[in-house]
Amino acid sequence: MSGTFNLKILTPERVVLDTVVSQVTATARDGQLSILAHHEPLVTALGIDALKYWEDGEEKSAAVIGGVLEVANHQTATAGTDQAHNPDDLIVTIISDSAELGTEIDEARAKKAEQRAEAEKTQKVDKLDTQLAEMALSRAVARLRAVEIARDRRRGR
Amino acid sequence: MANLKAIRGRIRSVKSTQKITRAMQMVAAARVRKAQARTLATRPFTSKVVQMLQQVVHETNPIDLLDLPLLEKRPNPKRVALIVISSDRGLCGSYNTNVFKAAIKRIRELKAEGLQVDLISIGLKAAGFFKRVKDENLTKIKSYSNLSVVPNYETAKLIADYACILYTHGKPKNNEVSEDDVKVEDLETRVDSVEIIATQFINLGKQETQLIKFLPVELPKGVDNFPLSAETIFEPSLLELMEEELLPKYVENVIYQALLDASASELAARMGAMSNATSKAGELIQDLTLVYNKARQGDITQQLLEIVGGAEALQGK
Repeated sequence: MSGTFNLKILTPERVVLDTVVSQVTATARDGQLSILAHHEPLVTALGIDALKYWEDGEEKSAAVIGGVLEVANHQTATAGTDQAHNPDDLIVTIISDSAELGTEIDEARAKKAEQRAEAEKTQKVDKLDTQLAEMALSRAVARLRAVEIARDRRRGR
Repeated sequence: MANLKAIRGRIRSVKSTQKITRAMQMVAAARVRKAQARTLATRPFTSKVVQMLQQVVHETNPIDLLDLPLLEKRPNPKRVALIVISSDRGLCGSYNTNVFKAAIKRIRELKAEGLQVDLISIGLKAAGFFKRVKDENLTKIKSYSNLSVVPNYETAKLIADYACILYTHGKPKNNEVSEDDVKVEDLETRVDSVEIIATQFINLGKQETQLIKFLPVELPKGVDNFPLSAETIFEPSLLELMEEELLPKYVENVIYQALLDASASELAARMGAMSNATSKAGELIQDLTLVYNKARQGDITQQLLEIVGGAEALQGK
Protein backbone atom coordinates (compact mmCIF):
# COMPACT_ATOMS: atom_id res chain seq x y z
CA MET A 1 0.00 0.00 0.00
CA SER A 2 1.32 3.36 -0.98
CA GLY A 3 0.15 5.21 2.08
CA THR A 4 -2.85 6.71 3.67
CA PHE A 5 -4.40 10.13 4.01
CA ASN A 6 -7.26 11.92 5.75
CA LEU A 7 -10.74 12.07 4.32
CA LYS A 8 -13.34 14.44 5.65
CA ILE A 9 -16.90 14.83 4.45
CA LEU A 10 -18.57 17.96 5.77
CA THR A 11 -22.18 19.01 5.40
CA PRO A 12 -23.86 22.01 7.00
CA GLU A 13 -25.72 19.72 9.35
CA ARG A 14 -22.86 17.58 10.60
CA VAL A 15 -19.44 16.07 10.00
CA VAL A 16 -20.37 12.93 8.09
CA LEU A 17 -16.97 11.33 7.98
CA ASP A 18 -13.50 12.03 9.34
CA THR A 19 -11.20 9.09 8.88
CA VAL A 20 -7.98 7.75 7.41
CA VAL A 21 -8.22 6.09 4.01
CA SER A 22 -5.93 4.71 1.33
CA GLN A 23 -7.97 5.65 -1.73
CA VAL A 24 -10.98 7.74 -2.69
CA THR A 25 -12.94 7.33 -5.90
CA ALA A 26 -15.43 10.04 -6.68
CA THR A 27 -17.38 11.33 -9.64
CA ALA A 28 -16.49 14.88 -10.55
CA ARG A 29 -18.57 16.98 -12.90
CA ASP A 30 -16.46 15.87 -15.84
CA GLY A 31 -15.75 12.27 -14.98
CA GLN A 32 -14.53 9.85 -12.36
CA LEU A 33 -11.35 10.40 -10.47
CA SER A 34 -9.45 8.42 -7.93
CA ILE A 35 -7.19 9.94 -5.35
CA LEU A 36 -4.29 8.14 -3.78
CA ALA A 37 -1.75 9.38 -1.29
CA HIS A 38 0.65 12.08 -2.58
CA HIS A 39 -1.92 13.40 -5.00
CA GLU A 40 -1.40 16.89 -6.34
CA PRO A 41 -3.41 19.69 -4.71
CA LEU A 42 -6.74 19.92 -6.47
CA VAL A 43 -10.11 21.59 -6.15
CA THR A 44 -12.96 20.22 -8.19
CA ALA A 45 -16.74 20.25 -8.36
CA LEU A 46 -18.45 16.94 -7.71
CA GLY A 47 -21.45 15.44 -9.41
CA ILE A 48 -24.27 13.60 -7.70
CA ASP A 49 -23.08 10.04 -7.24
CA ALA A 50 -21.85 7.43 -4.86
CA LEU A 51 -18.33 7.82 -3.57
CA LYS A 52 -16.05 4.96 -2.68
CA TYR A 53 -13.27 5.01 -0.14
CA TRP A 54 -10.95 2.38 1.23
CA GLU A 55 -10.65 2.38 4.99
CA ASP A 56 -8.38 -0.28 6.56
CA GLY A 57 -8.23 -2.04 3.21
CA GLU A 58 -12.00 -2.29 3.12
CA GLU A 59 -14.14 -0.70 0.45
CA LYS A 60 -16.83 1.58 1.83
CA SER A 61 -19.28 3.95 0.26
CA ALA A 62 -21.11 7.20 0.76
CA ALA A 63 -23.69 9.10 -1.26
CA VAL A 64 -22.61 12.65 -1.99
CA ILE A 65 -25.16 15.04 -3.44
CA GLY A 66 -23.00 17.50 -5.32
CA GLY A 67 -20.35 19.63 -3.69
CA VAL A 68 -16.68 20.44 -3.87
CA LEU A 69 -13.71 18.17 -3.33
CA GLU A 70 -10.47 19.65 -2.17
CA VAL A 71 -7.14 17.89 -2.04
CA ALA A 72 -4.61 19.78 0.03
CA ASN A 73 -1.40 18.99 1.76
CA HIS A 74 -1.45 19.49 5.48
CA GLN A 75 0.03 22.99 5.60
CA THR A 76 -2.79 24.62 3.70
CA ALA A 77 -5.57 22.54 5.11
CA THR A 78 -4.74 23.01 8.75
CA ALA A 79 -3.36 26.54 8.68
CA GLY A 80 -4.78 28.45 11.57
CA THR A 81 -5.73 25.33 13.51
CA ASP A 82 -3.77 23.41 16.12
CA GLN A 83 -4.07 20.04 14.45
CA ALA A 84 -0.75 18.34 13.96
CA HIS A 85 -0.24 16.11 10.97
CA ASN A 86 2.46 14.12 9.36
CA PRO A 87 4.10 16.37 6.74
CA ASP A 88 3.47 13.76 4.06
CA ASP A 89 -0.19 13.71 4.93
CA LEU A 90 -2.73 14.67 2.41
CA ILE A 91 -6.13 15.94 3.43
CA VAL A 92 -9.12 15.42 1.23
CA THR A 93 -12.10 17.50 2.22
CA ILE A 94 -15.49 17.24 0.62
CA ILE A 95 -18.05 19.91 1.29
CA SER A 96 -21.53 19.03 0.20
CA ASP A 97 -25.09 20.12 0.87
CA SER A 98 -26.03 16.62 1.75
CA ALA A 99 -24.10 13.39 2.21
CA GLU A 100 -24.74 10.05 3.85
CA LEU A 101 -22.66 6.97 4.51
CA GLY A 102 -23.71 3.86 2.66
CA THR A 103 -24.44 2.10 5.93
CA GLU A 104 -26.76 4.88 7.10
CA ILE A 105 -29.03 5.00 4.09
CA ASP A 106 -32.49 3.54 4.34
CA GLU A 107 -32.64 1.46 1.20
CA ALA A 108 -36.42 1.11 1.12
CA ARG A 109 -36.84 4.85 1.35
CA ALA A 110 -34.29 5.53 -1.35
CA LYS A 111 -35.97 2.99 -3.61
CA LYS A 112 -39.35 4.61 -3.05
CA ALA A 113 -37.87 8.02 -3.82
CA GLU A 114 -36.42 6.62 -7.03
CA GLN A 115 -39.75 5.22 -8.15
CA ARG A 116 -41.54 8.42 -7.29
CA ALA A 117 -39.03 10.51 -9.18
CA GLU A 118 -39.21 8.16 -12.13
CA ALA A 119 -42.99 8.40 -12.20
CA GLU A 120 -42.96 12.16 -11.90
CA LYS A 121 -40.44 12.50 -14.66
CA THR A 122 -42.71 10.80 -17.15
CA GLN A 123 -45.84 12.59 -16.01
CA LYS A 124 -44.58 16.13 -15.90
CA VAL A 125 -44.95 18.13 -19.06
CA ASP A 126 -43.30 21.29 -17.90
CA LYS A 127 -39.62 21.38 -18.73
CA LEU A 128 -38.69 22.69 -15.33
CA ASP A 129 -40.66 20.04 -13.45
CA THR A 130 -39.01 17.35 -15.52
CA GLN A 131 -35.66 18.78 -14.62
CA LEU A 132 -36.53 18.83 -10.93
CA ALA A 133 -37.71 15.24 -11.11
CA GLU A 134 -34.48 14.29 -12.84
CA MET A 135 -32.51 15.91 -10.04
CA ALA A 136 -34.48 13.96 -7.46
CA LEU A 137 -33.92 10.81 -9.48
CA SER A 138 -30.18 11.26 -9.63
CA ARG A 139 -30.09 11.83 -5.88
CA ALA A 140 -32.05 8.63 -5.27
CA VAL A 141 -29.85 6.69 -7.67
CA ALA A 142 -26.71 7.93 -5.93
CA ARG A 143 -28.08 6.80 -2.58
CA LEU A 144 -29.03 3.40 -3.97
CA ARG A 145 -25.61 2.88 -5.47
CA ALA A 146 -23.97 3.72 -2.18
CA VAL A 147 -26.23 1.22 -0.43
CA GLU A 148 -25.41 -1.42 -3.00
CA ILE A 149 -21.70 -1.00 -2.56
CA ALA A 150 -22.07 -1.20 1.21
CA ARG A 151 -24.20 -4.33 0.92
CA ASP A 152 -21.92 -6.13 -1.55
CA ARG A 153 -19.10 -5.46 0.83
CA ARG A 154 -20.92 -7.05 3.73
CA ARG A 155 -21.87 -10.09 1.73
CA GLY A 156 -18.36 -10.56 0.42
CA ARG A 157 -16.94 -10.80 3.90
CA MET B 1 -64.95 40.32 51.33
CA ALA B 2 -64.38 38.09 48.35
CA ASN B 3 -66.20 34.84 48.68
CA LEU B 4 -64.18 31.81 49.63
CA LYS B 5 -65.30 29.55 46.83
CA ALA B 6 -64.29 32.06 44.15
CA ILE B 7 -60.81 32.43 45.64
CA ARG B 8 -60.36 28.68 45.82
CA GLY B 9 -61.29 28.45 42.16
CA ARG B 10 -58.76 31.09 41.20
CA ILE B 11 -55.99 29.38 43.10
CA ARG B 12 -56.77 26.16 41.31
CA SER B 13 -56.76 27.76 37.89
CA VAL B 14 -53.48 29.59 38.53
CA LYS B 15 -51.95 26.32 39.67
CA SER B 16 -52.90 24.52 36.49
CA THR B 17 -51.58 27.40 34.39
CA GLN B 18 -48.34 27.16 36.30
CA LYS B 19 -48.12 23.47 35.48
CA ILE B 20 -48.43 24.27 31.78
CA THR B 21 -45.87 27.06 31.81
CA ARG B 22 -43.44 24.89 33.74
CA ALA B 23 -43.80 22.10 31.21
CA MET B 24 -43.26 24.53 28.33
CA GLN B 25 -40.20 25.91 30.05
CA MET B 26 -38.69 22.47 30.36
CA VAL B 27 -39.45 21.55 26.77
CA ALA B 28 -37.87 24.79 25.57
CA ALA B 29 -34.81 24.20 27.74
CA ALA B 30 -34.26 20.76 26.23
CA ARG B 31 -34.71 22.12 22.72
CA VAL B 32 -32.34 25.03 23.26
CA ARG B 33 -29.62 22.59 24.11
CA LYS B 34 -30.23 20.68 20.90
CA ALA B 35 -30.33 23.89 18.89
CA GLN B 36 -26.99 24.92 20.34
CA ALA B 37 -25.52 21.55 19.40
CA ARG B 38 -26.76 22.04 15.85
CA THR B 39 -25.10 25.43 15.65
CA LEU B 40 -21.84 23.84 16.74
CA ALA B 41 -22.24 21.06 14.19
CA THR B 42 -22.18 23.55 11.30
CA ARG B 43 -18.86 25.06 12.36
CA PRO B 44 -16.51 22.72 10.45
CA PHE B 45 -18.49 23.21 7.25
CA THR B 46 -18.64 26.98 7.61
CA SER B 47 -14.98 27.41 8.33
CA LYS B 48 -14.04 25.18 5.39
CA VAL B 49 -16.23 27.11 2.96
CA VAL B 50 -14.86 30.42 4.20
CA GLN B 51 -11.33 29.12 3.98
CA MET B 52 -11.77 27.87 0.42
CA LEU B 53 -13.37 31.14 -0.60
CA GLN B 54 -10.50 33.08 0.85
CA GLN B 55 -7.98 30.93 -0.96
CA VAL B 56 -9.77 31.31 -4.24
CA VAL B 57 -10.15 35.05 -3.83
CA HIS B 58 -6.49 35.26 -3.01
CA GLU B 59 -5.63 33.41 -6.19
CA THR B 60 -7.82 35.37 -8.54
CA ASN B 61 -7.27 38.72 -10.06
CA PRO B 62 -9.69 41.17 -8.39
CA ILE B 63 -10.83 42.29 -11.82
CA ASP B 64 -12.07 38.80 -12.66
CA LEU B 65 -14.21 38.81 -9.56
CA LEU B 66 -16.10 41.83 -10.80
CA ASP B 67 -17.89 39.58 -13.26
CA LEU B 68 -19.61 37.61 -10.54
CA PRO B 69 -23.13 38.97 -10.20
CA LEU B 70 -23.40 38.20 -6.51
CA LEU B 71 -20.36 40.31 -5.73
CA GLU B 72 -21.41 43.26 -7.84
CA LYS B 73 -21.94 46.42 -5.84
CA ARG B 74 -24.35 48.77 -7.52
CA PRO B 75 -24.04 52.51 -7.29
CA ASN B 76 -27.20 54.50 -6.47
CA PRO B 77 -29.31 51.72 -5.01
CA LYS B 78 -33.07 52.12 -5.38
CA ARG B 79 -34.58 49.02 -3.84
CA VAL B 80 -33.60 46.97 -0.87
CA ALA B 81 -35.01 43.59 0.07
CA LEU B 82 -35.35 42.97 3.77
CA ILE B 83 -35.60 39.44 5.11
CA VAL B 84 -37.23 39.44 8.55
CA ILE B 85 -36.84 36.24 10.51
CA SER B 86 -39.47 35.67 13.18
CA SER B 87 -41.12 32.62 14.72
CA ASP B 88 -44.24 30.70 13.79
CA ARG B 89 -45.43 30.41 17.34
CA GLY B 90 -45.94 32.87 20.14
CA LEU B 91 -45.46 32.66 23.90
CA CYS B 92 -41.83 33.56 23.61
CA GLY B 93 -41.67 36.87 25.42
CA SER B 94 -40.41 39.87 23.52
CA TYR B 95 -38.61 37.79 20.88
CA ASN B 96 -40.83 38.72 17.95
CA THR B 97 -41.53 42.24 19.17
CA ASN B 98 -37.82 42.99 19.22
CA VAL B 99 -37.41 41.72 15.68
CA PHE B 100 -40.33 43.84 14.46
CA LYS B 101 -39.03 46.91 16.23
CA ALA B 102 -35.66 46.51 14.57
CA ALA B 103 -37.32 45.86 11.21
CA ILE B 104 -39.52 48.96 11.44
CA LYS B 105 -36.53 51.03 12.47
CA ARG B 106 -34.52 49.78 9.51
CA ILE B 107 -37.41 50.39 7.11
CA ARG B 108 -37.68 54.00 8.37
CA GLU B 109 -33.95 54.49 7.88
CA LEU B 110 -34.07 53.15 4.36
CA LYS B 111 -37.10 55.26 3.60
CA ALA B 112 -35.27 58.33 4.83
CA GLU B 113 -32.59 57.54 2.28
CA GLY B 114 -35.27 57.43 -0.39
CA LEU B 115 -35.16 53.68 -0.94
CA GLN B 116 -37.97 51.30 -1.73
CA VAL B 117 -38.18 48.30 0.56
CA ASP B 118 -39.25 44.81 -0.46
CA LEU B 119 -40.16 42.59 2.41
CA ILE B 120 -39.59 38.86 2.71
CA SER B 121 -41.04 37.64 5.96
CA ILE B 122 -40.16 34.35 7.59
CA GLY B 123 -42.50 32.94 10.22
CA LEU B 124 -46.22 33.37 10.80
CA LYS B 125 -45.69 36.14 13.32
CA ALA B 126 -43.87 38.40 10.88
CA ALA B 127 -46.51 37.78 8.20
CA GLY B 128 -49.22 38.68 10.70
CA PHE B 129 -47.45 41.76 11.94
CA PHE B 130 -46.65 43.23 8.54
CA LYS B 131 -50.17 42.61 7.28
CA ARG B 132 -51.19 45.54 9.45
CA VAL B 133 -48.34 47.79 8.34
CA LYS B 134 -49.29 49.95 5.40
CA ASP B 135 -46.67 52.02 3.67
CA GLU B 136 -46.27 53.00 0.05
CA ASN B 137 -42.54 52.44 0.25
CA LEU B 138 -42.96 48.93 1.54
CA THR B 139 -43.90 46.03 -0.71
CA LYS B 140 -44.49 42.60 0.74
CA ILE B 141 -43.23 40.20 -1.87
CA LYS B 142 -42.87 36.87 -0.17
CA SER B 143 -43.65 35.16 3.05
CA TYR B 144 -42.39 31.82 4.30
CA SER B 145 -44.27 30.32 7.19
CA ASN B 146 -44.81 27.02 8.92
CA LEU B 147 -41.25 26.00 8.21
CA SER B 148 -40.06 23.00 10.11
CA VAL B 149 -39.28 23.72 13.75
CA VAL B 150 -35.75 22.53 13.23
CA PRO B 151 -34.30 24.67 10.44
CA ASN B 152 -32.98 22.50 7.66
CA TYR B 153 -30.57 23.26 4.91
CA GLU B 154 -33.14 22.85 2.14
CA THR B 155 -35.21 25.69 3.57
CA ALA B 156 -32.15 27.89 3.78
CA LYS B 157 -31.34 27.02 0.19
CA LEU B 158 -34.83 27.92 -0.97
CA ILE B 159 -34.69 31.32 0.67
CA ALA B 160 -31.14 31.98 -0.50
CA ASP B 161 -32.04 31.05 -4.07
CA TYR B 162 -35.02 33.34 -4.01
CA ALA B 163 -32.95 36.23 -2.68
CA CYS B 164 -30.24 35.62 -5.27
CA ILE B 165 -32.72 35.58 -8.13
CA LEU B 166 -34.20 38.78 -6.80
CA TYR B 167 -30.77 40.29 -6.69
CA THR B 168 -29.52 39.14 -10.05
CA HIS B 169 -32.87 39.75 -11.68
CA GLY B 170 -33.94 36.34 -12.75
CA LYS B 171 -30.61 35.07 -13.91
CA PRO B 172 -30.56 31.82 -11.98
CA LYS B 173 -27.13 31.13 -10.65
CA ASN B 174 -27.35 27.46 -11.46
CA ASN B 175 -29.86 24.98 -12.73
CA GLU B 176 -30.74 23.80 -9.25
CA VAL B 177 -32.76 26.92 -8.61
CA SER B 178 -36.39 26.14 -8.17
CA GLU B 179 -37.78 28.78 -10.45
CA ASP B 180 -41.34 27.72 -9.80
CA ASP B 181 -41.06 29.71 -6.59
CA VAL B 182 -40.46 32.91 -8.41
CA LYS B 183 -43.25 34.31 -10.45
CA VAL B 184 -42.46 36.56 -13.34
CA GLU B 185 -44.26 39.55 -11.88
CA ASP B 186 -42.09 39.33 -8.81
CA LEU B 187 -39.11 40.01 -10.95
CA GLU B 188 -40.24 43.18 -12.61
CA THR B 189 -38.22 45.07 -10.13
CA ARG B 190 -34.89 43.88 -8.98
CA VAL B 191 -33.31 44.82 -5.71
CA ASP B 192 -29.90 46.39 -5.28
CA SER B 193 -29.12 44.83 -1.96
CA VAL B 194 -30.53 42.28 0.44
CA GLU B 195 -30.45 42.59 4.20
CA ILE B 196 -31.51 40.22 6.93
CA ILE B 197 -33.01 41.15 10.28
CA ALA B 198 -32.70 38.25 12.66
CA THR B 199 -31.94 37.45 16.24
CA GLN B 200 -28.47 36.48 17.26
CA PHE B 201 -28.10 33.94 20.01
CA ILE B 202 -25.52 35.17 22.49
CA ASN B 203 -26.35 33.05 25.50
CA LEU B 204 -29.38 31.62 27.24
CA GLY B 205 -30.20 34.91 28.87
CA LYS B 206 -29.29 37.19 26.04
CA GLN B 207 -30.40 37.44 22.44
CA GLU B 208 -29.92 40.46 20.25
CA THR B 209 -31.46 41.49 16.98
CA GLN B 210 -28.89 42.02 14.31
CA LEU B 211 -28.76 43.36 10.81
CA ILE B 212 -26.83 41.24 8.32
CA LYS B 213 -25.88 42.73 4.96
CA PHE B 214 -26.54 39.68 2.87
CA LEU B 215 -26.10 40.68 -0.77
CA PRO B 216 -23.89 41.83 -2.41
CA VAL B 217 -21.62 39.32 -0.75
CA GLU B 218 -18.94 40.82 1.40
CA LEU B 219 -16.04 38.46 1.07
CA PRO B 220 -14.58 37.34 4.34
CA LYS B 221 -11.26 38.97 5.14
CA GLY B 222 -8.03 37.53 6.49
CA VAL B 223 -6.56 35.98 3.38
CA ASP B 224 -2.96 36.05 4.53
CA ASN B 225 -3.37 33.08 6.85
CA PHE B 226 -4.15 30.66 4.09
CA PRO B 227 -1.47 30.30 1.49
CA LEU B 228 -2.63 28.10 -1.34
CA SER B 229 -0.02 25.95 -2.92
CA ALA B 230 0.70 27.36 -6.34
CA GLU B 231 0.30 24.11 -8.23
CA THR B 232 -3.27 23.54 -7.11
CA ILE B 233 -5.40 22.41 -10.01
CA PHE B 234 -8.88 23.80 -10.39
CA GLU B 235 -11.50 21.86 -12.26
CA PRO B 236 -13.55 23.34 -13.88
CA SER B 237 -11.98 26.76 -13.97
CA LEU B 238 -11.47 28.68 -10.79
CA LEU B 239 -14.11 31.26 -11.56
CA GLU B 240 -16.70 28.69 -12.53
CA LEU B 241 -16.02 26.85 -9.31
CA MET B 242 -16.42 30.07 -7.40
CA GLU B 243 -19.63 31.04 -9.12
CA GLU B 244 -21.31 27.66 -9.16
CA GLU B 245 -20.20 26.06 -5.96
CA LEU B 246 -18.44 28.18 -3.41
CA LEU B 247 -20.45 31.39 -3.53
CA PRO B 248 -23.86 29.69 -3.45
CA LYS B 249 -22.69 27.51 -0.60
CA TYR B 250 -21.43 30.54 1.27
CA VAL B 251 -24.64 32.46 0.70
CA GLU B 252 -26.85 29.53 1.69
CA ASN B 253 -24.77 28.99 4.74
CA VAL B 254 -25.26 32.59 5.87
CA ILE B 255 -29.03 32.08 5.76
CA TYR B 256 -28.77 28.68 7.40
CA GLN B 257 -26.73 30.15 10.23
CA ALA B 258 -29.23 32.98 10.62
CA LEU B 259 -32.11 30.50 10.78
CA LEU B 260 -30.32 28.33 13.31
CA ASP B 261 -29.46 31.32 15.45
CA ALA B 262 -33.02 32.57 15.25
CA SER B 263 -34.45 29.23 16.29
CA ALA B 264 -32.06 28.92 19.23
CA SER B 265 -32.95 32.48 20.25
CA GLU B 266 -36.66 31.79 19.97
CA LEU B 267 -36.37 28.79 22.23
CA ALA B 268 -34.21 30.63 24.73
CA ALA B 269 -36.67 33.52 24.75
CA ARG B 270 -39.54 31.10 25.26
CA MET B 271 -37.69 29.43 28.07
CA GLY B 272 -37.11 32.78 29.77
CA ALA B 273 -40.70 33.89 29.29
CA MET B 274 -42.05 30.63 30.62
CA SER B 275 -39.79 30.61 33.64
CA ASN B 276 -40.96 34.16 34.42
CA ALA B 277 -44.55 33.05 34.04
CA THR B 278 -43.99 30.08 36.33
CA SER B 279 -42.48 32.18 39.10
CA LYS B 280 -45.16 34.86 38.64
CA ALA B 281 -47.79 32.17 39.02
CA GLY B 282 -46.08 31.05 42.22
CA GLU B 283 -46.25 34.59 43.60
CA LEU B 284 -49.87 34.90 42.61
CA ILE B 285 -50.72 31.64 44.35
CA GLN B 286 -48.99 32.88 47.50
CA ASP B 287 -50.92 36.16 47.46
CA LEU B 288 -54.19 34.44 46.79
CA THR B 289 -53.61 31.94 49.58
CA LEU B 290 -53.02 34.85 51.93
CA VAL B 291 -56.24 36.52 50.85
CA TYR B 292 -58.04 33.20 51.14
CA ASN B 293 -56.83 32.60 54.70
CA LYS B 294 -57.70 36.14 55.74
CA ALA B 295 -61.16 35.73 54.31
CA ARG B 296 -61.55 32.41 56.08
CA GLN B 297 -60.45 33.88 59.39
CA GLY B 298 -62.74 36.86 58.90
CA ASP B 299 -65.58 34.48 58.24
CA ILE B 300 -64.91 32.54 61.43
CA THR B 301 -64.60 35.73 63.50
CA GLN B 302 -67.82 36.95 62.02
CA GLN B 303 -69.61 33.75 62.93
CA LEU B 304 -68.20 33.77 66.47
CA LEU B 305 -69.33 37.35 66.92
CA GLU B 306 -72.77 36.44 65.75
CA ILE B 307 -73.01 33.49 68.19
CA VAL B 308 -71.63 35.54 71.13
CA GLY B 309 -73.88 38.45 70.23
CA GLY B 310 -76.87 36.13 70.04
CA ALA B 311 -76.08 34.47 73.38
CA GLU B 312 -75.58 37.85 75.06
CA ALA B 313 -78.87 39.08 73.72
CA LEU B 314 -80.63 36.03 75.15
CA GLN B 315 -78.93 36.43 78.54
CA GLY B 316 -79.77 40.11 78.75
CA LYS B 317 -83.46 39.30 78.48
